[in-house]
Amino acid sequence: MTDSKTGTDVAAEASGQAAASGQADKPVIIRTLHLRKAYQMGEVTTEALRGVDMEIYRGEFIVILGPSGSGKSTFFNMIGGLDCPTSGRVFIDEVDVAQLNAIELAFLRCRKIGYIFQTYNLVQYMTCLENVTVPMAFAGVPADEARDRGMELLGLVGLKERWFHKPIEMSGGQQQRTAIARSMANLPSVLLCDEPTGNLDLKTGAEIHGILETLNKKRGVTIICVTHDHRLINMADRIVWIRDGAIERVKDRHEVKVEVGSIGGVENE
Amino acid sequence: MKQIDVKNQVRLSMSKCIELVMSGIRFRLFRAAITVLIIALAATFLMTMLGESILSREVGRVIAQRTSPRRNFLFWADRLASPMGGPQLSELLAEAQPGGPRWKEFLAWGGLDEQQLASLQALTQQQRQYMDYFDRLEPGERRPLIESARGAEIFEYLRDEQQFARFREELKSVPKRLPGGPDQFQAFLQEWQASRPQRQAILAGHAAVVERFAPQLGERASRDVLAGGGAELRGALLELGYEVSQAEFDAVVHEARLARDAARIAPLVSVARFKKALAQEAGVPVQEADSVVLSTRLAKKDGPAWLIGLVEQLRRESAQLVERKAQQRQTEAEIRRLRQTDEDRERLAVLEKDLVPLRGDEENLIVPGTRALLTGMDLSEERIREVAAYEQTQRSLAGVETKVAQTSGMEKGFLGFSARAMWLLVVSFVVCVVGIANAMLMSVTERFREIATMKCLGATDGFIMVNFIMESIMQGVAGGVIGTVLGFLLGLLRAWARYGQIVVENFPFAEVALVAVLALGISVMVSAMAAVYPAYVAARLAPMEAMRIE
Repeated sequence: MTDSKTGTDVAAEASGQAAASGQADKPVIIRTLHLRKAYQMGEVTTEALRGVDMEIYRGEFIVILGPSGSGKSTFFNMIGGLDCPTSGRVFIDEVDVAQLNAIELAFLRCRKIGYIFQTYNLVQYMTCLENVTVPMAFAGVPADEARDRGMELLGLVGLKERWFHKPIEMSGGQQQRTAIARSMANLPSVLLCDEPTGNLDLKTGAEIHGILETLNKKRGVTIICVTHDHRLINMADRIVWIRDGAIERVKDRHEVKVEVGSIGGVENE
Repeated sequence: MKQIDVKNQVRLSMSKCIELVMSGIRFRLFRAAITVLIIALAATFLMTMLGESILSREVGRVIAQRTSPRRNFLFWADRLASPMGGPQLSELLAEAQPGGPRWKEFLAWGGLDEQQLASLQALTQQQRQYMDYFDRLEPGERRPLIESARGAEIFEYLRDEQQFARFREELKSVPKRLPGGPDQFQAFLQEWQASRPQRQAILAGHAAVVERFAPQLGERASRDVLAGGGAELRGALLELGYEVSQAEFDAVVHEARLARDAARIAPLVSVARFKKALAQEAGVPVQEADSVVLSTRLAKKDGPAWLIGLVEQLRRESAQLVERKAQQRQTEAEIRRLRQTDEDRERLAVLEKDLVPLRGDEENLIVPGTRALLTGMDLSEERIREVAAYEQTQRSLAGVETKVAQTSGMEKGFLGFSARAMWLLVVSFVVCVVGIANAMLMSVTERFREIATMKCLGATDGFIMVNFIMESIMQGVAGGVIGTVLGFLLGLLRAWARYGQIVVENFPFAEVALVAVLALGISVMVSAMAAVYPAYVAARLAPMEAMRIE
């Protein structure tokens, strides 16, 4: 923490790119600087990320695309505060993640970031409402307030009537909606979604899209999404392609025409 | 860079943690049940052994207490009739309270002063310590040290300089340490030798006292003299230098009377006719009708009356037989006379035909010893009942005492356990730790994603760690309680089967409660310890694991 360079100083060095695209005036929520990550596997060192610079602005809806092994998961984990970079820096809400200790990281994950997983990851032995209030318990919200807020969030995802159900008694879509409510428990500024509709059929997937869109547009939550779901891609403000551990290109949505079955075509452009 | 104020990252309250753990356990009830079972088994084992050993000790204590009046009587009966020996003096002196009765007796008999006796006592205690040491040696270790010397011979043997030098040399290869080392031992040997005249003085003093008391005893056993009781007897004892309080004297006299009266009943079984009648009465073969059978019969409600009746009848029979025997003698004399004179052959034939010699049991009934026994049994019904009941209690106590001695002989060492039992206990707990650790590790691996998700939601490493250790502790408490209760019941049952009612009558609540707490504490501690590594693995888990799709 004794680093003399502040986050904004360092950020200023690499802000040329952002300034060029005319978005410098928007507040930055996540910023990465020369982000590198190498995994040691036996004697071989695999470089998953080789210097990624990226800025994500408050209230944006970002979709990350990339073939498997491209490093997009690694990148996603980095900006979610789940993993530490080998070198380079990640700022989440102007906080340098690499410099945080375990408890500070827990604090960050608890309040600043919401996670949505492909497999929902609800705690099996808790009811819907209990699942939603777990992060509030970690944040020290009193039980009564947590219950009220939990019910409100369940109302938001349309599950108010089912608050007492256990995950095993709910459909995939309902579980994912519960997970979204849970991710919003402490009103985070960033929502990280890992294939949120990957395990769902088209119709239930659509419910999720609707909720994410509402959160993004009405509540101004920044959403970062790893997905192959073209309808989600269609909702994104910007689309980021990652290949071989580096950002291949970043495009605004209106620059890309997304149609059913044509994403591959877009990528091949 | 912006600072994060982590003060608000609360630790979950204990109740919330417990709530979370409980719901987790309920969800995985089967595994939890198996873990609880493992702990319960180990706790049962521990508690059984602890409980049994405590109950054994308690029974031993109670028996020692209940048999002490009789032992004290025997002690007095013995010391009135025969002079004390060296080993007995050592034993009494080592345990004598300064200023107590034995202390005063030794002062009087030995003509010693307080200080001399005190140093003599210190020496005697040292001597006991050395004797214990030599007793604990294996035969293979003893032989090179002291050859075949036993007891006081050892000290005699080692007085020789040359032999002591060899002893000192051989001692180096003995793993058990001689208390105080060889130099101190050598010093002790000299002092022990020097104290010999003082010990001899006490022994001689007592021997003289026995000599002076001998006329009072006369032909009688000291038991019968003590049974006589009376202030005169006590006065005589006090005058001889014996220290005996009125209460102790009364107790000894009471015991002596019981013993005397018991000695009037028990020998009756040596009378053939009596034995036969008893066997018939009790429905056992004649050779099995002994004093135990007799006391069982006497314990019945009509037992004393039956005994008195039987003795009465035998006395009558005996009297008749004596008469018959006398007549027979006359007849025999007549026959002898007729044969010699060779006249009146007719009469001789009649007499010879009529002469029926007494059978063996009838002969037995008229010998003077038997007649003395029969006339000596002049106790009232009430007294017979009392004596029989007392004898039976003493006999059963003696039986239990043997069992306690057998058991407690094996249970020396730490916490009253033998090395073997200790080894079994340790192994059982190691197995328990491994079992719990394995179950907890399985629990961790199968909950990888749940743990990682929790970490994504803001759980700290500490919370995860506490969570798992608490889960194990809860299982430990459950298993510990079950095991302790089961083990206690099992231990009680085993002790009850071995010693009988006496266990329940004298139940050491406080000690058993203490041991139960100990057993419970050990099980909880063991389960907490076993969970440390699995909990550490869980706490170290990276939150990224939540993203993994199996």
